[in-house]
Amino acid sequence: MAEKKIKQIAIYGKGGIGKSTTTSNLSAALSDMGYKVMQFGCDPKADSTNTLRDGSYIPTVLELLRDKGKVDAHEAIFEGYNGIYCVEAGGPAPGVGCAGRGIITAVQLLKQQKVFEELDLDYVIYDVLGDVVCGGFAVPIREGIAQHVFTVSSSDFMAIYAANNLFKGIQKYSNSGGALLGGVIANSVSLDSGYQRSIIDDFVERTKTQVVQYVPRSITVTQSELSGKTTIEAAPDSKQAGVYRELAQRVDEHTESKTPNPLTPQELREWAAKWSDQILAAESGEVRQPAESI
Amino acid sequence: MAICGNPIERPRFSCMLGGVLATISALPKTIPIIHGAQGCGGSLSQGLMLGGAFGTGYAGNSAIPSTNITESDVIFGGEDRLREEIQGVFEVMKGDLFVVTTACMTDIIGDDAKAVVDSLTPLPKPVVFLETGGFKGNSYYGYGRLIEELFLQYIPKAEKKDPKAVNIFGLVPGYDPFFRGDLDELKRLLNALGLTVNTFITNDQTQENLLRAGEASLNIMLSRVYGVDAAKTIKESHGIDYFVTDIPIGAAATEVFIRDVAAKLGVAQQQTDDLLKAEIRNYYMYIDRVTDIIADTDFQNYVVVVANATQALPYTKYLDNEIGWLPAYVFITDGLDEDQQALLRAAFDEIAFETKPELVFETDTFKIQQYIEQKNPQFLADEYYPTISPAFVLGSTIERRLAEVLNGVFLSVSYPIINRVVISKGYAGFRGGLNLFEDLIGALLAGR
Repeated sequence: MAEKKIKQIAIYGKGGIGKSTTTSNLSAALSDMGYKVMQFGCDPKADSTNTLRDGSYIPTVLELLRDKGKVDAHEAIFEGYNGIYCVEAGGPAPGVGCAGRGIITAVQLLKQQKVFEELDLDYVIYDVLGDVVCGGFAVPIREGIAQHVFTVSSSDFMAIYAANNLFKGIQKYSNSGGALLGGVIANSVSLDSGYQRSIIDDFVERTKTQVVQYVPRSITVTQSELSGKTTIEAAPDSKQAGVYRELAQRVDEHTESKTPNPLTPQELREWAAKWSDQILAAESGEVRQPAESI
Repeated sequence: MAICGNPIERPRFSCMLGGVLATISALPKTIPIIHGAQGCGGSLSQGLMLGGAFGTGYAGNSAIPSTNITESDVIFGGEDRLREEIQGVFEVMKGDLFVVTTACMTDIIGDDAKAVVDSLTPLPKPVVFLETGGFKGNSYYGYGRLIEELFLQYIPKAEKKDPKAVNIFGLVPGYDPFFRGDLDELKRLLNALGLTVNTFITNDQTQENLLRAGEASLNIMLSRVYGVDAAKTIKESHGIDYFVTDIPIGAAATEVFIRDVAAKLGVAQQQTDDLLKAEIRNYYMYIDRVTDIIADTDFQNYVVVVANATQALPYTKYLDNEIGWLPAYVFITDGLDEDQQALLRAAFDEIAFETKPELVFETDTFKIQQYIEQKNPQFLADEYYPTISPAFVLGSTIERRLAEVLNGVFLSVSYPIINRVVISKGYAGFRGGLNLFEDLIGALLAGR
């Protein structure tokens, strides 16, 4: 019998952009589709999997390592919604130690103990702090860990800046068997207002990637999170749950990721300035098209 | 076996922590406390063996206290481990001065070692703190930083200076393999001028020398690059003037050195003249007796000097000015920045050579050999070109191969030296000049 190929996905994005919300809903939706899923939080805050476990925190891999010196990976795995395996890497207190090394250690610990194979997983989804500030946060995209990377971004310039930085990381490791880019999950994008969507569309075109799903801002998500649940669990019939299920469907069907084409700092500045001018013009009612086009 | 284009290079120095540990090992009853992984202290201490078998010292090598941090300390921060280690050290180690040093890992993760030391104050003995992540510089840089911090954190300022007291800096224990003999000789000469001399790192020194260093009127810097920044800081903090010079080797250079220092300290002219007269007479009485064998030997040699920024020029100057040899190439092997190179080049240009050698900044042993082979016609096909022959190589033990290629004679004088032990011998001053002469002629005759 051929060995089952576990699909390993890393989800990056600027802090506070909605990574964990998106990831948890993606995990929940994939689980509902019948897959065995593990969600692996790679953020020292260790709150990635909260909404899969009724808002509760779980002991992290690094806490166990600190307290016991040696960790049996099973002690760090907790079941959440619909049997999803939840793991948090954890990390040091803010301002001390090396969080990046913590991520490397936690990821390698699970990999070495071959728990993914043992649990017969279909999906491992890494939820990673997205600024890729050092090598540790790049470990899921290095050779042998994740195969596909998705980045969560809004149309805010700083979120796009973080996404562009991530693309640089992916490009760097692309020649040595690292993960490639599946696309952008456009989060908090108003589908009514034209320019938010246009900014992201323009960015993915410039960087030679794609938008996998547009996720609108929704009060349903906030309500679900406040009750410690994903939208999939708390409001399965809502429109927003449908958006996440569609995202899961597309991720499941996704097979071929690519090397992105990140913008240089100069290109990014010029690109942002161009959009800034356009938005300002639109809001002040300035007409920019040639007269004959009106 | 053919040598490939990019062989793995052999080291001619270690990291910042290496230089700091070497210096601490030579300071009187001074104990380092390393905040780093277990490899740092042990490996760097082993590196000292390459300085002419400069061994363990009072609390060196495996006796060095170290936090030996593990992965957990790297992730969560190792400050608690350091606190525990410092407290432990005071229970089991007897020392007069302690120096907390860091290593690459602890500096990268940003452990605040100074805050740990501060939080434990007051401690039973003085503790100096220094960030010594190896990536900050090489061992020579580490030496200079330690001197600077000893003055800033430990050595009291003295309002009243002793007009006849001097400190000598610039030689790094182990990495300048003859530092003890060199300093002993210079101290002997300066004592004879009526001066009080602090060397800090020779056998006769105690903590008293460190504690009274602030009373000195002059810091004599025997390196044009290493420790000079510290001298500038000390001038501001302790009001001690400094004098940058080279290690004087042989009668001519030492006479100039003595006269320079005497003038700066206001030593009576007659006293200086009397000392020099006696020393020079003694020097040449020794030389006189050995001239018979020199006349019998193929004595004058072309020389290649391969040494660090402190030693290369003084050795070359001695060979040309003092004994009339023909330096062909001078290779300075430290990784120097452009300003440091310019400074050394200017000093080199001031030396009055009979035949000016070529000065090259290169660390790589293979490239040094390659440079000579490519520049020098004797390695080309035409046999009528002039050659570097007879050749003599003064370098580290690594240069043995170069001497073979040049079909020349070899004497190890610079780090690493593994083919002989260096105990009390020095090459500085009058006695050092005779020692070097003895070793050069000895090497020429060794094959008889």
